[in-house]
Amino acid sequence: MGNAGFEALCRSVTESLDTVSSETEKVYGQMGEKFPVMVRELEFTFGRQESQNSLAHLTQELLDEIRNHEAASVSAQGRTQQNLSRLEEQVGSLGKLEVCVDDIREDSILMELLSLNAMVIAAKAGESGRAFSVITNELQQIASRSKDLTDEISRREANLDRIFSEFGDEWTKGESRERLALSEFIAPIKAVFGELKAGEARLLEGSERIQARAIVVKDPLVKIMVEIQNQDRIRQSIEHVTVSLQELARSSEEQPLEVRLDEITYLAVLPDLSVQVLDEVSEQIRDNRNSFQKSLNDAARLIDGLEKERRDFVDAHVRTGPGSLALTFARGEKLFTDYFHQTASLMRTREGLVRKGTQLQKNVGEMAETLHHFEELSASFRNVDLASRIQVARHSQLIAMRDNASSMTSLTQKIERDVGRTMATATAFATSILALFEDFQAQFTEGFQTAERFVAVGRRSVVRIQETQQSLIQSVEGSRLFTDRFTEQFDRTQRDLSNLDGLLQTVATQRSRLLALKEQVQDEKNRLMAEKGVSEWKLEKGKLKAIVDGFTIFTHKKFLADLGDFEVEQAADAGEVTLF
Amino acid sequence: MSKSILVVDDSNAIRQSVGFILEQAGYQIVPAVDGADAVPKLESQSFDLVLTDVNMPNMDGIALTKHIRQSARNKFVPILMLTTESQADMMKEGKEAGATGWIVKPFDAEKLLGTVKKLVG
Repeated sequence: MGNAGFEALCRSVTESLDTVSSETEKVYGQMGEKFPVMVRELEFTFGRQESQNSLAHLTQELLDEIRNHEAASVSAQGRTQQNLSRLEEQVGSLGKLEVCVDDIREDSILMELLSLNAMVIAAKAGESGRAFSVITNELQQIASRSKDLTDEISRREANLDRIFSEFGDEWTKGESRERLALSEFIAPIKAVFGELKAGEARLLEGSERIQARAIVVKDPLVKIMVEIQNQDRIRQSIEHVTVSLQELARSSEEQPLEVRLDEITYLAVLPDLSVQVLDEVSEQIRDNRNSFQKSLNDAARLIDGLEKERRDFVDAHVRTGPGSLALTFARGEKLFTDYFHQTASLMRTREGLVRKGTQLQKNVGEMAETLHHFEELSASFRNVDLASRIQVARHSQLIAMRDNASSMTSLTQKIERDVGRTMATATAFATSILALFEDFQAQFTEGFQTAERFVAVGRRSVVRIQETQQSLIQSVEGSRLFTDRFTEQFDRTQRDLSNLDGLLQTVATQRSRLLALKEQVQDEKNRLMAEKGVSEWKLEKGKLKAIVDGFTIFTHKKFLADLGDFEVEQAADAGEVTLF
Repeated sequence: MSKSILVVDDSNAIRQSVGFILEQAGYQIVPAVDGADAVPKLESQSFDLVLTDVNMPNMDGIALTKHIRQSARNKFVPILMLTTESQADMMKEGKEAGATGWIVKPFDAEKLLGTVKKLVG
């Protein structure tokens, strides 16, 4: 094989090594592009879930509503006390009315007796007392009706008295039940809200803690980013090999034998250098590949560990664990539902009571109407009294009636006064009682509206709390520590690393070919030495030194200098910093 | 406002690696693929530091350093040579051209950052 053979082989090796150089550049370059993106993704992941404490905020809003509701209940309680006192007072007024009615009853009885006496006198007077007899008869009937009316009024009063007492008792009982229901609701719901707030805080804090720990994944990625700089060394090393191979390819058979021997002796050194450099390249790629793989494995292990920790944490705090958000919320929701049902039931009871109050107002009205009959009877008494006095004055036979008539007049006047007093008492009573029941009704309406508003606000708040809680749960359950983009890039990098294995194989193949080239060069040198008739030929160092000067990596210079048996200037170590 | 650093290297891997490390530390990076690419950038913007390779096509790091020291803008900017060249005569050449310091590749990330901080703050 002549120099033409070197040239073809050198070109083929150079092309393969160029491929190695460009492929490593591609793989390292891809990592150089992806890893900063992945690190930014990590940083984005850490920053994306800021603690908003929205559940705490909402529960606090609802707690404020509950406090308002509680305050309204206390205020209603005070108003009830006032109204019940007023009711009691009115029941007392009913007693006064009864005293008035008793007076009318007594008046009526007396009038009845007077009428009997008058009837006797009329009978004794014979024909002269006939008209008087009719009058006394009428008087007896009016007195009897008046007495019956007082009985009816007394009955109505007794009835009202009983119903008032029942109404007061039932109103008080209803309100007590409402207070009890509220107090039985407030304490546990406050506890549930406290747990929800604490649960949310725990969840957010735990998530943030795990996310904060996820930053450790950045370390192996940063390490990879530092190591991709080695591609520059791989590239330069391959350039050194290429430069050497170009020298080999240029050798010519057209020169004198001595020149060709100088040339071949110099060229014989270059395959060793190239093999040495390729060994360095292989080592570099292998080291990088292992280091990249280790960093990726470290990152993967960290990712798996953190994801598992996150899943365990979410399971424990979100769905199933004691004190988990979902279970606590379900407890709170049940408390609300029960309280809403109870409130609705109590409001229905209170509504029934208000209807009873309306009936009571009607009863009082009816009683007042009945009392108006006393005024009619009083007028009748007055008419009879007048007619009686006329008859007594007209007929001397009725002289015995004079005293009786005088008593009748006095009694009629007393009845008028008693009826007037009764009517005044009854009117005052009816006015007060109507106003009182209107107040009870207004209180009920306000209470109903307050309860209705609270239930509506409560329902809305429960829905919002549920939505927020679900959103929080979904956010914690659904979000991953590492974004899809991060995971995708991470997985792709794993695949890219396998490309480096292929490149190592290429380098190994080219190394074998260089060893074969070395043998070919040595054979050519042996052939030329045989042609010259010598057994050895000394190396001309000039060209070797020129190549060394062109090298940028000290170890390569040193290696070639050792082969050429000359010295090169000592150099600084890799990574060394010199400030001038 | 973050400090700006011009990173000049014909190796994509070096630009990526150095750029990433310095960006992570809060510096703003402007990359250039060689001296010729760096010159117009130096004319249009002031930098707090220039970090340059030595061996590059078109215009090498030594020529670039000389150019910077003669330019109106960025004349006094610190220049760090980041290169595989490690022998004293090359370093001397860099120093004479006006370089502020010399770092031999492959660099140590902490040392690189420490040096940059020392020069730029």
